[in-house]
Amino acid sequence: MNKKNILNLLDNVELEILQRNTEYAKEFLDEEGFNTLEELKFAGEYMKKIKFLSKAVANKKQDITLMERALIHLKKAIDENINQTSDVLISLLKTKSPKLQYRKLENWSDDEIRDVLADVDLLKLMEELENLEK
Amino acid sequence: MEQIKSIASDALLMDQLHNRDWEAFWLRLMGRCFWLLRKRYSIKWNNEKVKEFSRSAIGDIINKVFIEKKRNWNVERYPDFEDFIIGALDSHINNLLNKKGIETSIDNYDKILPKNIIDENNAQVILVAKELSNNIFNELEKAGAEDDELLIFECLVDGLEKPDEIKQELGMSDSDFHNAWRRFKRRRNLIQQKLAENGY
Repeated sequence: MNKKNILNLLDNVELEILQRNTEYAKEFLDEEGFNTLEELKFAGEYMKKIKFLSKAVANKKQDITLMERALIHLKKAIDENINQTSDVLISLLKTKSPKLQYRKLENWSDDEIRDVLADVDLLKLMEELENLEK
Repeated sequence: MEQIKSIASDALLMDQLHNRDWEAFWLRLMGRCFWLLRKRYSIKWNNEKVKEFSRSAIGDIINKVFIEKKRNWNVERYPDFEDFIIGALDSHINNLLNKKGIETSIDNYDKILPKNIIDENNAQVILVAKELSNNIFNELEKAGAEDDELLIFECLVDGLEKPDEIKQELGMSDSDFHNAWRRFKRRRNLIQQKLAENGY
């Protein structure tokens, strides 16, 4: 149960003004002996960092989604047309992952395929695989 | 499934991140943190420590919302993004203080929640007895409170707690109200003292 007296009501008014009015908040902080100019600079730099990080997180998420789509495509292609798929994939991997080139594709684990996909141009691979499916 | 629909999409969050005046909002959040620590919880730390604590609390919330995505914005519960951040910040400050062994009673926590999330049916407004409010009124007058401050006090006695409601009730302009409020809020200690003397 929320019990309120006059003091609580007074505080609610004060908090709402602080919440809605930047000049009022600045005035209050100045009265408290707080350096608002320095804080504005800090806030600007901090939010710049957050915007940058948020973009990096979004890009990573997009890469992972693309990787999973490529994995599904690749597995489907391996199941349906192993010889042609091998040619496409091996040509893409020639310089990337020599140790995996000569193994049979059907023996690769999902994680091994993911490792290899991390080194290739996913969009190009998807395009090649889609062409195979046609 | 209803619940899922009311969580803000990435696009909505990105809109808030990129199209909001964050410097001004940050300053208002710092004002709130300072006010809560100094006035609500009577924390005696020096300004440097209050600043570091506040920056860390605000930064934690912003990180949880935009980077870690651990704080979801429920747009149905908080149509206003700022109310959402403030609700999360108040709760986080409370937890951080509790971890430091500083008591923040549940009663206080309820009082600092934004108005729109308090269940009005459960709220019990306990206004002081007429005699005590008259007594505080007289004390305010003796302490030099001007007419506009006394009118604001009467609005609080009547249970008004929204700046807009008070402005409307008194027919005051924004600037007149803010000028009067700046003077009136300095009487907080006197009001607190009188209430405490009478068991409130």
